Amino acid sequence: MWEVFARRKFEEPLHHVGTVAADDERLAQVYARTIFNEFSWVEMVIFRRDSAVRIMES
Amino acid sequence: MALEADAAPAALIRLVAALADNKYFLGRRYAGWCTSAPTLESAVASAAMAQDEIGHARSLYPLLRDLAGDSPQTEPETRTEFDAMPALQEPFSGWEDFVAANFLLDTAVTVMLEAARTSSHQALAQRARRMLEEEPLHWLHAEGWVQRMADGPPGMRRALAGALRRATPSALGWFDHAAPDLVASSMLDAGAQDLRMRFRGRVNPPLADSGLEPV
Amino acid sequence: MAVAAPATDADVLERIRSGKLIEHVGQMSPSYLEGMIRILTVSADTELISAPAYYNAAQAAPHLNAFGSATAIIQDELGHAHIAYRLMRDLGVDTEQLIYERPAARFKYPYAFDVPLDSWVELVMANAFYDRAGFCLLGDIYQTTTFGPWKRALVKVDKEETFHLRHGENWMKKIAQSAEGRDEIQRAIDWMFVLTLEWFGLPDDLKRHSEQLDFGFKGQSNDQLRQTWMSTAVPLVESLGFHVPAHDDAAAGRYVIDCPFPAEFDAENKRWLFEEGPISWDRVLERWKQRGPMNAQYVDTIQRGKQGLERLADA
Repeated sequence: MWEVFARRKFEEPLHHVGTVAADDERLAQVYARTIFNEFSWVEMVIFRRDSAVRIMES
Repeated sequence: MALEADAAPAALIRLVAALADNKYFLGRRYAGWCTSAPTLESAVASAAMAQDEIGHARSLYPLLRDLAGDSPQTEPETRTEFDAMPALQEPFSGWEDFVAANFLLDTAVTVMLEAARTSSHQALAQRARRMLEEEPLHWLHAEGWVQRMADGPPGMRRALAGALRRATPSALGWFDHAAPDLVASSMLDAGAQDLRMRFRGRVNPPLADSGLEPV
Repeated sequence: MAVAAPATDADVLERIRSGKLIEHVGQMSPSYLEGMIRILTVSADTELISAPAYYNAAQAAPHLNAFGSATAIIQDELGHAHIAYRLMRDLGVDTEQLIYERPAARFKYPYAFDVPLDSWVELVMANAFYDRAGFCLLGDIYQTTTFGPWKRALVKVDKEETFHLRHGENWMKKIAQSAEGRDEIQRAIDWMFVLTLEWFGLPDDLKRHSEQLDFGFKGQSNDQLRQTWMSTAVPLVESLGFHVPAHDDAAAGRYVIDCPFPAEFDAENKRWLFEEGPISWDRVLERWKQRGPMNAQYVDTIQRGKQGLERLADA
């Protein structure tokens, strides 16, 4: 699983736009780009969900 | 510019027609699998790639009309003499055919467009550059799936190898559209033999990485 | 199937009353989780099945440009289905099984999609009617849902469904310019309008999923949602000079249905048997349960690629 973050302007922080399932980084890129196409983003990045280090949760 | 003032050479008309038809057919074939892809993510990607190809076809048919003159044969809705690759004539019979077309046929068309990037025919060059912006995503999808299927169980790997073998003649034959006249007039920057080499240079390394036969 | 939902109903209600959203399964009670999975399943299945339904009709697109727009709409619908199934997956549901192995008859989308869309006109009327129904339902969920991840995801969905409605309306206007086109639109309205009324489900006096309201799964009741839909669908149709069996009763402040409702439907011929008078909702539920003509084919289309790969893997 990959977490997808994007922003529409550099003035705003990257925010979470969704997740995609792919075992391959290339496919994850394609999936993120084609599923979360609702805006013309200036930046989009993906992270493996299991790379997240959770330091707080309520 | 002098070139464009003359009657368009037959080889250019044939090339533009074949580019338009192959984009159109790729678009239809991709769309045909956007409701049957093996993952929801790939279903979305198939629909997106289908739209890219259809968009490219929509920009190429008007160019064909400009070159060949207005006729039912220059409109996709009324055209009957399509010049699409044999492997695109029928719907894909399985996802392995989709992946093989995505990897080989889509890439073969892309290699041709790259050869037209600096074409002396400005209208073609301009369109080629714009279309090429959307192709890296298709390549990522194709490469990702080739590896995924090659790394899968033996049956899946065999099916992919078979589909690649079936699509290869279409991909290699396609480069015959790069006629010597087009190279001589700088409408393309390389001929059929060179383009086949470029194509192999593109697709063979990932095939080798996945332990598949080169094309 | 689902991971444990450790909270109690009282915990959930307290959290909701304090104005907080439910963010993950650890904050859910078993009944909240079960209800959320149920409503997400309906939403995801509906978005998913619209893809093969629209694709079939897109074959009849009048030109390449129109086919491209239809493909864009299908991409959106698949993307929306993806969002809802991924949320379910995070709730512990085996979504691969749910999408690719579930028998066709157990999919939970509205019966309307089981009736084939056979022409471009029927496709654009589906954009105008069905996507509008989805828009009303999801708009209501967006307003009231207490499940944070879904609420945030619906911003995208809302934006794109608006585009689909406009696609339907713009094409209606275009097609309505010819006499033939008008006839075809009216014929589509004649069977699709009442089928969309049915979409919103049992009337309030027969059904009340109280948990849906208590837990904030839904804001409006079925009858209210039906009214919300008619409040834009009927004026649209009338503004273009078409007829529907419903009218605005200004004095009562609501829309009134002018045909027997619910009624018997002949799915093969896409015709309402109004002459037989109204029927009971039990009879409607029975028809829904049996599913309609396209159910098996659409689900088979969706499952085809995945099942094909599995067969290869076993070969």
